[in-house]
Amino acid sequence: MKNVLLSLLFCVVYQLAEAQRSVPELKNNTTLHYECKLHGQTRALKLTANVSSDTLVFHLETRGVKSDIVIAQQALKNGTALSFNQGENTAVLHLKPTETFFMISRSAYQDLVQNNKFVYNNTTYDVINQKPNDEVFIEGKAIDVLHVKAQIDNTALWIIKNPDFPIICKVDKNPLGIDFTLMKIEQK
Amino acid sequence: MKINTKAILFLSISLLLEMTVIAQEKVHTYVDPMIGSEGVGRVFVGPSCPYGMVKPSPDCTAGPNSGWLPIPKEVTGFSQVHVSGTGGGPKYGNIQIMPFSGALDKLDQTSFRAEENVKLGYYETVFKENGIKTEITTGEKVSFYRITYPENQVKALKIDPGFFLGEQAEPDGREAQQFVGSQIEIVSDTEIRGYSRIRGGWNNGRAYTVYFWAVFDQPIAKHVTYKDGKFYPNDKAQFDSGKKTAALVSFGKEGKQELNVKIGISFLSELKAKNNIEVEIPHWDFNAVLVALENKWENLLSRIRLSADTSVDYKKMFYTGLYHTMIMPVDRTGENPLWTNNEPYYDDFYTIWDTFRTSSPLITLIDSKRNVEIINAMLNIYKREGYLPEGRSGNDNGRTQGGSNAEVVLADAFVKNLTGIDYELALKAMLKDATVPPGGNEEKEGRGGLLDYIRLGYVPYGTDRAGNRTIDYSYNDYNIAVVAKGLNKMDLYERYMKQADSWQNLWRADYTDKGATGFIMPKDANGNWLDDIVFGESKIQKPTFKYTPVIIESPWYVCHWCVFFYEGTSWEYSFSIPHDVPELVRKSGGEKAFETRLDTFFNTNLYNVANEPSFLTPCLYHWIGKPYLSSDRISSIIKNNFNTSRKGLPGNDDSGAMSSWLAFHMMGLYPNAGQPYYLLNTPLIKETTVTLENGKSFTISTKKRSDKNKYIKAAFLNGKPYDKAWISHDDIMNGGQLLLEMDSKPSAWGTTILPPTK
Repeated sequence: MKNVLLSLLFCVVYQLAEAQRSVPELKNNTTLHYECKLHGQTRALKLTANVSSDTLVFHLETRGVKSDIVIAQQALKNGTALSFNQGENTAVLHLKPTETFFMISRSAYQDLVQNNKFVYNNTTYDVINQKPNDEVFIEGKAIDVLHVKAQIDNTALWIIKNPDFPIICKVDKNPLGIDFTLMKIEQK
Repeated sequence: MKINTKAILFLSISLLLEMTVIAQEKVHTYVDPMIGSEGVGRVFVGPSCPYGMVKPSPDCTAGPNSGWLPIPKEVTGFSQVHVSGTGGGPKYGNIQIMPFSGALDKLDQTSFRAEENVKLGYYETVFKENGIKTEITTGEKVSFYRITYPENQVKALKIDPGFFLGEQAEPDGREAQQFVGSQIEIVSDTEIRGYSRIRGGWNNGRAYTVYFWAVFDQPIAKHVTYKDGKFYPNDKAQFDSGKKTAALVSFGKEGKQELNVKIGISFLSELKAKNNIEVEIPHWDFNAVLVALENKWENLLSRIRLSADTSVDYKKMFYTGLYHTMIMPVDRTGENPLWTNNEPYYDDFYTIWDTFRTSSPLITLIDSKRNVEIINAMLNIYKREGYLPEGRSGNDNGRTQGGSNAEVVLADAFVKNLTGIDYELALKAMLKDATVPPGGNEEKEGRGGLLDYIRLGYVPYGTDRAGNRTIDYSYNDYNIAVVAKGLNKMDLYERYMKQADSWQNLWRADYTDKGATGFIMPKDANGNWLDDIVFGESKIQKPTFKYTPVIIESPWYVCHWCVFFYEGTSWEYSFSIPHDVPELVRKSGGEKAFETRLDTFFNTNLYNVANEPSFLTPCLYHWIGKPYLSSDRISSIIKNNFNTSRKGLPGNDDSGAMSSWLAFHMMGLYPNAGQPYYLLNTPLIKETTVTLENGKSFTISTKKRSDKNKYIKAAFLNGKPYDKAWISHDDIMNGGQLLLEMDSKPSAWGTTILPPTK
């Protein structure tokens, strides 16, 4: 009986905690502050959003690079691949209509919610059952995320539960050597 | 007549007084060790003898490369071995001491500085919390501390051989120093000995051991020793069991408030460290040690004199530049733990990739005997370990960045006729680099990618740093050819002159960028140019990045060491062909196109003042007959990037590389290392006199030099018209005067007889 009560109490606390997790929005002039781990080096990276009906433009700033990364509406809806281009070649980089940047497409997100898996960059990612110590915090605030893992490369992604803008807030074991963590969200 | 006599007498006395003042001027007082200490310069700020083995300085946490950081950062302690101006993971920071007051019950005695005073050979700080004043000076192998405690405070000191810079929790972290062992023993009431054994650091070197013997001028009243987190009040010694050891000692409250500490350092043994004290500083006179150190520097620095009317700022920039050039590599003669002979032994070549261009030639100009010693030490390393050093530190050839650049140093000595070097042996050592692959670890020494370089004529993409390795090896092959020819080995000369053209195999003639045509670009082993390069190790995804002449692909796509061009772009490296600029000009589309290319490079921020690959580039206008444009560029680079502030160096000083670049240009000279001449530019100094080791002197004088009159109108070498914008090393060694007449407009001077070609 004692155990049952304790279990119930745990469930209530867990549900309360769940309810308290936030889902950050992405609006015009939202700045996402990432810390990137790149082949043994650490770099800060900023993405400032410019949302329009046609595109989402991320103004990217990191050491030595400033670039506007343009994600087409088509890609936001139905993109199938992440771009890992740093944008160093041009001041404005238009991604392919299939490519998103630091986020997955809405259709991929729906796949993930409905089927617990999605395919991106020809890689299948499965949902991982979230453990209590697997939570993502940004500036001390718990974030509502889906934790997925690639079937073959073992890349882990933490995707914010925002159906409109499923931002990737954390990458681990990326075989491309680009792991990042969202540290702060700023709205101007 | 009477008036005239009086006037003559007055003038004579004035002249005599002025001459006396000049004669007495101590140029070492212009050295400011703080120039370049903050920001990216990372210079060592503590006292050091020229090429001194011991470099005591505060360590402000275990993070900074030089140990020091500005106030208000805390001081963890003062350790005895450091390097200057380096990037990458820190090295050394061994045998730390820290004065404190109070109980002997905690190892962390971190304090904050209330003030700090630094000059050549001397460091002083007063701690905020306890008012303790620490002064430091040094000998070659012995550091000397004068610690003054406030009255009625317990005089306590921590001795911590467990400390070192760059400590990271991750085992075998790349470029992180790792603890191997330490031990400590209180030998008597005035002596403590022990050692620190550390491995890794920037050059991923094998373990090195720093032994010490510390002596105090007051008896220890109380002590505790420490090992692995525990204190042992009753034990006088802690042996090495792979754990960190230390001792806390107290000298009581009684007696004088000043505690003097001498710390002998050795890389051989504790007893050798003790012997170093007995031989070098047998007394307790702090000021005598400081004066001896100042005199050593004065003797070297005063070999180049600047005209009396030179501004104080220029004097500070110049003499500090010379000072930085001569604190590394370090003289460890008699301290070599690896083999025994009477040859000189130097360590901390950090790295020759950085220093071959300007540091080494400047040492040749000021103190060629020292450079002979350094080169003989390099040859000794080759004899004993099989390869010349490149990035050697902690007694280990640990790292290469590009070429086998010792070749340039040896060729530079050869073409400048330095005597006392076995050039047959030098050629053998150079040929080893050029013919024998270094084995499994291609990063350590020799030439990585050598077999491909010989087979294909270039290092293909896929081998780390393939781009700069190819062009550096080309130049190194030219260096070999020069020495071979001088030793009358014409078959070798022919072969290596041919190989010196290898850079052309990576020249992509039809590639254009920002109006410039032709770049050194990546090519695979099958001879295909690579535009889109696959990155990462995914089993499924094969993303690509576009290789362009402006990309620095690290760290986003590849690791720092895995790039095509090390710490630079194709725009920078495509100018870096110091032995064949005429061919570079031709390949770039001729003189006009080359001038435009240079202008684009400097005007659109493609030039990187902070690193060595572009050191020669501002002078390349000389090869299209426009030396005045070189001078314009140099003047503007110095004005915008160098000054007397703590942030007065625009990049890592790299053992004085950046500082020696500045010092040369201030004189109006610039060496093309490995070749027997200096390019001439408008000097920043009105008159510079170099006292040469052969007893002669050479003066570079300007006439009518002003901010407006910044162009050379005519030149006279020992009174005879001199039309070349370059001068041979021999001409300088013959002594005399080069007079440069200045004007407000560029002239035809130096435009017709271009610098020597290969």
